[in-house]
Amino acid sequence: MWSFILRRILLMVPTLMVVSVISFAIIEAPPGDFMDAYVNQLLQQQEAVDPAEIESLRKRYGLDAPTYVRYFRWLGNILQGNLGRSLEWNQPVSKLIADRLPWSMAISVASFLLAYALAIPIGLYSATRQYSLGDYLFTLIGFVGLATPNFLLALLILWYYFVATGNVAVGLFSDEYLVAPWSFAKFIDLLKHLWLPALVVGTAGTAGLIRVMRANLLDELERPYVMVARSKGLSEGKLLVKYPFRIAMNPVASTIGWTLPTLVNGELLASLVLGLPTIAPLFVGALLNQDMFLAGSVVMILSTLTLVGTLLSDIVLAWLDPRIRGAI
Amino acid sequence: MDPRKLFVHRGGLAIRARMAKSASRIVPILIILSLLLAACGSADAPAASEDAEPAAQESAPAADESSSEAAAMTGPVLTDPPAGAGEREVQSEVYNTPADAGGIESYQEAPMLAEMVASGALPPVEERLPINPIVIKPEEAVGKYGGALRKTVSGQRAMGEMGWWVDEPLTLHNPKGVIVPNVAESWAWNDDHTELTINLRKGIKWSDGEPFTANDVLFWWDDIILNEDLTPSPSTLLSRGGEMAQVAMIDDFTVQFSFAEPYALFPTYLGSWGGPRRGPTTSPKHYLSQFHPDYVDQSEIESMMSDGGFDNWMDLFGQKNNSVNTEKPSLAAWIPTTVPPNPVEVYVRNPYFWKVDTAGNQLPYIDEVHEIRVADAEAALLKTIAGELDFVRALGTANIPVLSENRESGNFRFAYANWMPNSYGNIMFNYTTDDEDKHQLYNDKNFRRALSVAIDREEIIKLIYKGGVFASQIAPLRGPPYHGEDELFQSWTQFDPNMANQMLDDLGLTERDDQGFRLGPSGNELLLIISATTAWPSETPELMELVKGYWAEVGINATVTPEAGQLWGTRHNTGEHDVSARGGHFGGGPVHPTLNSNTFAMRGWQWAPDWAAWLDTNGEQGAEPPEDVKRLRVLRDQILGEPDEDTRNALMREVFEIHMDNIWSIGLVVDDPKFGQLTNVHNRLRNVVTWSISGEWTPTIPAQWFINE
Repeated sequence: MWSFILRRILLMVPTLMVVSVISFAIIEAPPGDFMDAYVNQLLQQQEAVDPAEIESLRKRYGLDAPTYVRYFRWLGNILQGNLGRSLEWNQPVSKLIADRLPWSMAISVASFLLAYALAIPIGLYSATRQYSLGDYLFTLIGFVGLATPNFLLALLILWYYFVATGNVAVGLFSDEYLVAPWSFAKFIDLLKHLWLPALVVGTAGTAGLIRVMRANLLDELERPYVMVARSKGLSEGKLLVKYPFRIAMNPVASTIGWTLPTLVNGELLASLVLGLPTIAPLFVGALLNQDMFLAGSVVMILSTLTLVGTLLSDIVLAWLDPRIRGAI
Repeated sequence: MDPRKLFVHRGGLAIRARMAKSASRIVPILIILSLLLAACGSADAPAASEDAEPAAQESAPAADESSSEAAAMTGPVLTDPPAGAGEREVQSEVYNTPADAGGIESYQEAPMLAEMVASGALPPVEERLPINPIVIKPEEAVGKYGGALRKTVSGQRAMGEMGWWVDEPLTLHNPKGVIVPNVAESWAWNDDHTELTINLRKGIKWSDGEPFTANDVLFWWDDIILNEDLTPSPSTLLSRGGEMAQVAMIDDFTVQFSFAEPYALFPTYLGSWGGPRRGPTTSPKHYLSQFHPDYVDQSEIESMMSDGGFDNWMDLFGQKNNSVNTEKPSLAAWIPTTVPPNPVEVYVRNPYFWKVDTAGNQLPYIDEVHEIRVADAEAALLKTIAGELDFVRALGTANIPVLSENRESGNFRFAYANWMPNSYGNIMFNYTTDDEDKHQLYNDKNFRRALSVAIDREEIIKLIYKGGVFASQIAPLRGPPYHGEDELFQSWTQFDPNMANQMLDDLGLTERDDQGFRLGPSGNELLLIISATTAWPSETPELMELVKGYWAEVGINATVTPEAGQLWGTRHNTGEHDVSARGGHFGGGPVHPTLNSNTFAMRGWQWAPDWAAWLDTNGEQGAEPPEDVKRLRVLRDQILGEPDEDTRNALMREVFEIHMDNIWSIGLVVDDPKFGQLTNVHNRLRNVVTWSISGEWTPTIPAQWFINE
């Protein structure tokens, strides 16, 4: 087991290198660079732009160097723990991300808890009462949740909430608490706003999890060992929780790790629509304006978390299921 | 984007199979369940509204607290409903001195500042104001202190409207569009308009209490503009006849600009959008010199660089000199207290602001400006309709009907922000293309005219705009002095396919291919590739699809490629486009047409980057333009030096006539400038003029606005 973990961690290093090359290439793929975006912005504001000045700025930021030089410069800095400065916000990338990380985490954890709290019991119910009215109802909600893009759901809820209450549920605080220092009342105000992003972000995840849980459990319930246990007079509840449920949980557990990157990135479009102070809007803006260091750092962090998450999933799985431990 | 998708979902196949099996059985129940779901949804809503109520109660004590500090804040000052857009002539006046305003007996200040004076944290208001504060006659009434102005800032900008409000230039366009003194109290030219002496307003203080003097203007000039590291190539607006201006300090409050040639337009530029209006009054020497190697040891600068993670001192200096730097002293009415990006950017009143109202109250009336970050356009629209914002600019022409419907329920009104007309769907040609056929055709003005009259602009208006725009070539500001509504700008806008066919035949394009499209002069296929930006305006690709159809009618084959704004800009400026389409302007209002790259073929975004480069570099780069383009530059030079406004306007007319003869870019429609930048103003906000000049609100003095509650 330990050698397996060690091997996996060592394997992560070359994987990350490949990821860094790919993400750098993707960020570099559109023609032009940050200075072009900057010039376009100035021109839109009718500001005079001098090409010579732009060239000198490009030189100053090292944007004139060949791609591979910039790649190694960027990688070198990252290895030293220096994420660089955001060209757009004129601030260290690490500060920008650190400022927003708690919000991203808060929303993701809330939606994550919501998703699992809803999905596991519902999945259990749906599987044990297959083709009942309740099963159909949840199946429908599941399909709707899976099929509706999050940002659309966010827009619909925003509009619906506005029509019903006259309030706009954008952001995480009411106007009067936006600039107020932290207090208990502000925290309560936050909770009042947090449910919406948690619900929106959590919906797709919940729907997916319900389906996984239901399918797995149904597979297990048809197994001969269940029949044997039942024939031996084991009570239905005890039987369910002790055996098929545990096995059905395996795939669910194995996907827990995958949610790690979403903890940071949340649901991108939903965050944009809801005006949340998370990393997602920052990331989108960085991609649009080719703010190399900010976009690159977010991609690298997400990739690292994806790899760590996958590793954690495997470890959890191995811990849950002795058969898998053996297979390793 | 979603990393989970990179991995194969375990058990996914099983789920899909099961779903397929159960899908058919579900269909009948779908309808019933969707009704159930709708019921669930509506049950949610009242619960949510109950949630909202305690929030309102909790906010009540907070309001009590703030009322204790401002005894004056009881009830509204004005009880009449505010005037709608354009319903009132501009009433507010800018007086250069208290004497001009008929004398001011005593000065008063905001309650929050009075408290600080009482506690000794701040000198009294008389000592904070300059000898001659600017006196504003308010638009409607003398207002009252207090409150926070709620505005928006989009996701990607550091500052919203505040980006302009934080500048207090030397000169200002007053609300009627006339250039008036601001930080400069007066100025005088020598006889041939080569020497401008500017007298600064004596006694103005930076927001930290330090005096503002000619030293600050000289710091901007000597240590920022003339520093080659910071400003590798200073704006061409700062030189005349190819020579940089010279700036001298006469005394503590007098500076002199000397130019190699007459530059009568310079005071206008000092207060113009796009002109050098930022630097002279935003460079506090006592603060910025701490980060400048001419004033401090290199070792100190290096330690500051490493603390902030900067690679060079210019970046360090640039960050300290940024408008959003909360430490940097300012002359503006409100100063930033937050470093973007935050959910809300907060600006607070500058206790040393140097403008007062006619009753002697120090401005601004409003305590704080909140720029709330709303990344999504729909969310901004929703917040406006809900009445949660006080001042929202330009939500888009398409949303005007929705906004009109909700004016009453949202308790807001419209205000016009006159802007030089936006010309949509300008078609530009690559005059220096390598394709010989195209090179010959594009450079023939009859080809461009023929393509222009082939377009049915009225149909375009019907199909795409449903009103609000006029058929026109690209045009300057409507009304005096440039008269964008003149017949001249209707040149070659008539829809006349017969004439177009005739003109194309006369050009010798009589050979056709088997599909009926005209062949090029050399007998080869002629295909115009139109690159349409999706950024400004977003309907450009649709416009070009229609144009493609009109051109096909006269035998010209074209295709349309939509391109994202950034990509379009880069490709256009490097001459990679064959034909390209985007919006455009000819200037007018405080954006003097001489500042507009389109009007004078200057570098920037316009119809012939290669020609501009040739003119800018005296033939070293780019390609030589025809005589008419060179003539534009000669005229511009004359306008810059011409002191007489009528003569300047006559010269501008000549410029526009050259344009309308050549049709270097084919214009389709121009918008009604009133609606292009429509602003939504909450009814609690008063003293706002009913229209602003040139889409800008700075000249209408937001410091005089107050919250009427």
